[in-house]
Amino acid sequence: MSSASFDDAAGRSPEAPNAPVALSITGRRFDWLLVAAVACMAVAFVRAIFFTPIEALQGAAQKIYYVHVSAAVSAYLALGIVALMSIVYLWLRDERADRLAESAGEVGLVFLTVVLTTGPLWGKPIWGAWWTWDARLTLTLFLWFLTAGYLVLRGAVDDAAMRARYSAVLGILAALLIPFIHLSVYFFNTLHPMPIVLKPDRPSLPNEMLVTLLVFFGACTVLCLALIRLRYRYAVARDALRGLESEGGDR
Amino acid sequence: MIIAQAGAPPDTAAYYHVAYAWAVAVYVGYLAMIWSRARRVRSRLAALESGGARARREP
Amino acid sequence: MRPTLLSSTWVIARKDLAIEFRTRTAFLAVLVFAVLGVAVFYFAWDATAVAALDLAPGVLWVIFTFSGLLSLQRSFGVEQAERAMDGLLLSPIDREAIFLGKALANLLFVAGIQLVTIPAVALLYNLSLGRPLLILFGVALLAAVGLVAIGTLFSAMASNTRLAELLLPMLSLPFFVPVVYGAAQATSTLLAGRPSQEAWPFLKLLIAFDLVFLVACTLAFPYTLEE
Repeated sequence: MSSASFDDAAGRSPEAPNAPVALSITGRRFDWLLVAAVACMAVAFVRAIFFTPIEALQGAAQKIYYVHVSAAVSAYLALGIVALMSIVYLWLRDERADRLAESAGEVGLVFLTVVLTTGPLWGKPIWGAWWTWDARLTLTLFLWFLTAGYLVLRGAVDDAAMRARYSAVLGILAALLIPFIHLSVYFFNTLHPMPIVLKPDRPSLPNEMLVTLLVFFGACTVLCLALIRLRYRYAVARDALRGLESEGGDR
Repeated sequence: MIIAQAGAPPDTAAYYHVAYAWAVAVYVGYLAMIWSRARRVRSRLAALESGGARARREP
Repeated sequence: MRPTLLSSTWVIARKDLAIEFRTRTAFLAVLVFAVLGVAVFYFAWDATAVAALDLAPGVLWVIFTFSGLLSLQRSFGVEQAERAMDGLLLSPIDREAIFLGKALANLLFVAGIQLVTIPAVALLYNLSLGRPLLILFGVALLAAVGLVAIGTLFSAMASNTRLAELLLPMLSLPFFVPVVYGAAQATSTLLAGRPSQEAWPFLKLLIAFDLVFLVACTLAFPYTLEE
């Protein structure tokens, strides 16, 4: 197991290898990134709720847009990490890449779920329909299925090396699939245009709303990274536990 | 489709409340889930540490 | 002397097909499923509300997808049963050839199913039996290549997991969507007598998918094997 330059996977530092296992989850180091993320999200929510005007044509529901779009950006960021780490793993066979991919995949699924649920809640009052097969929602739906499949695959393979290889293969193939889904949706929408009366997809936002949107983007991104790191540390500890337990079982 | 009254924005507040509450619930819920999983792993690791006075092989 | 990729591929494909046709049970089972499915769909729709001609492509491609999945399920089950894969891996045959051979066998299997299902669709849905049939066969072959490339790889992976029957459809179906979409649009455009120019973007989608994923899955296959 390759060690990082700092504490190894079980939290032991190279200078004191027999020191008690110091867990890197919440127990020892102060997770400043997570605290910052929660603070930023709180600021974003407060700003959106209390300090952003209600849009005239759409009413209060337009505010859902901030949560929906920022979650989508974070989801794409997380899934981009999955795809990248899949390539890195197959290339370098470093289990840290696999752990990072696993963590980013789970966090990505959470953000995708937010996108897919806030989308209809926004769409119904604005467009009159719970679901439209527009580009973003359809792609998000597919990403959700692919990510869920990725996590189910991981859960179904017991051998760590096989699990990492299979996940990496799926991650790369899924990334290759995205342009094809995009193209299919594009054809579908140009051939069967939706009768949308009001399409506020890219409204020209007045400054106050634009700032709120950017604040939400920033906060969600920080939250995404903090959650991935938290989840990664959990994976490190979990793998250390598995390692120790299997060692104990060998005796 | 919500019909706008003359002058006032349409009342779509219900969707807005549900969506925001739901998003917060998902984020906090996921955070709590990782936290509790980590706590369980942490306690089991601690148990292994305290239960093992024997020398442990470095991985 | 090291066998060439092409000859190895053919050897593997022939072996798989020989095993299959010794018993023929899987082929017949999938065939019955496909033809029954086509018939069931007809009863599910009101034939007076939707013209059979509009219905036929959709039905065909949905049945194509699910019977394709059924065909793929058995593909690696054969090896699993007797650990025959170990013998294959020890031989001087390229890993890529193992994949291509299995994919070819699957392709011929799926094509065999289509050979019966498409005329069945034409008969039951009152399509004329000339040019439309040729169009359907052609597009079906294109679609089958993509289906089989993805399905052979994923069935290889899934058969080594605990949730094989769930994982194969769950992982494959998102990948099948561009294939089914392209095939359905191409066939409905052509069957409706529209100029073939209109069908060309969908055929391009199919061909591009086939090329990209045939190469990608062939390259990925060695990573799914034990090292």
